[in-house]
Amino acid sequence: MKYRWARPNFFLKITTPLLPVSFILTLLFLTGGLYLGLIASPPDYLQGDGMRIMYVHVPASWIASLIYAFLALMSFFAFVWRHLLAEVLAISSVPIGALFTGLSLVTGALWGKPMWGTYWVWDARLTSVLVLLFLYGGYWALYKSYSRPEQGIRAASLLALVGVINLPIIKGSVEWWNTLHQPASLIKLSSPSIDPSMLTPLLLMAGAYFFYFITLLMIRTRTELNTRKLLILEAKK
Amino acid sequence: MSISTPYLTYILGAYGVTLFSLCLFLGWTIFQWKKSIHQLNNSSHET
Amino acid sequence: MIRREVRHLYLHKGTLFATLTFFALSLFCVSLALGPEEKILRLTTPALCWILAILTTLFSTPLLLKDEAQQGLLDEILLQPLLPAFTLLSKIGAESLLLGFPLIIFGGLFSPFFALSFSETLTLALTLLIGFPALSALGILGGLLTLNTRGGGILIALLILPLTLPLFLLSLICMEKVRLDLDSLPPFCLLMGVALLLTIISVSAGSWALRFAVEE
Repeated sequence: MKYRWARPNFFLKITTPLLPVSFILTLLFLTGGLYLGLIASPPDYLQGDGMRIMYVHVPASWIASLIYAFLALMSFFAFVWRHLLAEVLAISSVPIGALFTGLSLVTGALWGKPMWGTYWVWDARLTSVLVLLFLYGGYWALYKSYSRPEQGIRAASLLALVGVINLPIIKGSVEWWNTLHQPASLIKLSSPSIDPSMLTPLLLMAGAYFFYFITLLMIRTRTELNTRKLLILEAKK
Repeated sequence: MSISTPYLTYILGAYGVTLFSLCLFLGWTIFQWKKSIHQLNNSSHET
Repeated sequence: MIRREVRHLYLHKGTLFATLTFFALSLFCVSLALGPEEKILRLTTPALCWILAILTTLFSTPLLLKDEAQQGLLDEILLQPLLPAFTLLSKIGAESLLLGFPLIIFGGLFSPFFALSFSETLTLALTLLIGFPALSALGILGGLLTLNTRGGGILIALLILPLTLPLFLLSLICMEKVRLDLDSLPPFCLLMGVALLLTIISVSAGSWALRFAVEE
């Protein structure tokens, strides 16, 4: 039992000074990104000012998939070694991932309406982001439907590992159905398809989202650890 | 960016939704955190 | 071994029959709702067949599993010297025989009602034939994951439906290529690959889930 708690305590000790740092970093990146994205950057020659929505939309999709990768990794640790910290980190990252997936969908719709004339197209990439949202929802629902968290997390990590095969399919499906959605131009970062004046706010917003994720992950992990401790205390009574 | 841009509602909508939900989620998370600390303190006082 | 599973499954022929009837009935109902326009029917029926096949497996497989769990048959699987994955595979085989084949034959028999040409019917039947074991494997995985939960049917649909997406998207690409007289071999091969991959993954994950479900 002592071994099981030793590492979470270590995690708490490390993250106590890190929490304010990452919060301040979030604010810094956010102000920088907002200023450059909304005010300072030049309008796109094709899309005009509508292009600015990209600065909140594209990083949200990045972070949403990044969190899913993180979730899958943590699920793997939780599944193989039944490590408590990995379990707690996995379950804490799920709502944040779902938030970013939802944001990506909403801002994508708000970008699509003025640019392409519709809020939604059934194109493969949009659909796979929606699927990502459902995967997060499934994970959460499965976890919550077990009465004990340690049972739920095992079933849910199994589900997340199976769901990882969805991530390559997201990438692969783009090639199958190319509709009016823009091709992924950021993948070929080296080619001059995107201007540096646009790349800077994009990366700043991505940084802001990333540190937001880190901050929230630390807070949620603490909450989750407290709840687990509470369960153990109540079981002892 | 000029104020008279044709897509102003959409741009402000997208930025607004993003910032609003980020703040809301942060607030909710912190609320849960404080609540869990409170509960833990209560519970350990009783034992 | 498959024969034994078939015999097991045959005991539940009521459920199987109800599932098949559900498939046929909803196919007719939706077609009626869409109207007698041949063009629309021709476009929508393959998709409908696939969605209904997914739904039927997702709802019937967990029901059968729950029944077996109550009889303690799942504990027996773990006690056998054989790897549990093989037992799960034979379950999939049995279900494909008893539920998959009738379903495909149903779809084939009624395809003239929906103005499908012969080659389209053949493609639909082939894609279903390849996809069904994978669907059944996913259904078993979902059933095992939710065996000890308070939820039930709806939860399984939420968990498994997104995972079935590549299967039916690829099949529909196949159908479209056949309809347009294009080369449908590449998506078909990809479909076979994805189905195989999904079957392997969900069977191995399923044997873990089985272990967890029984341990509790």
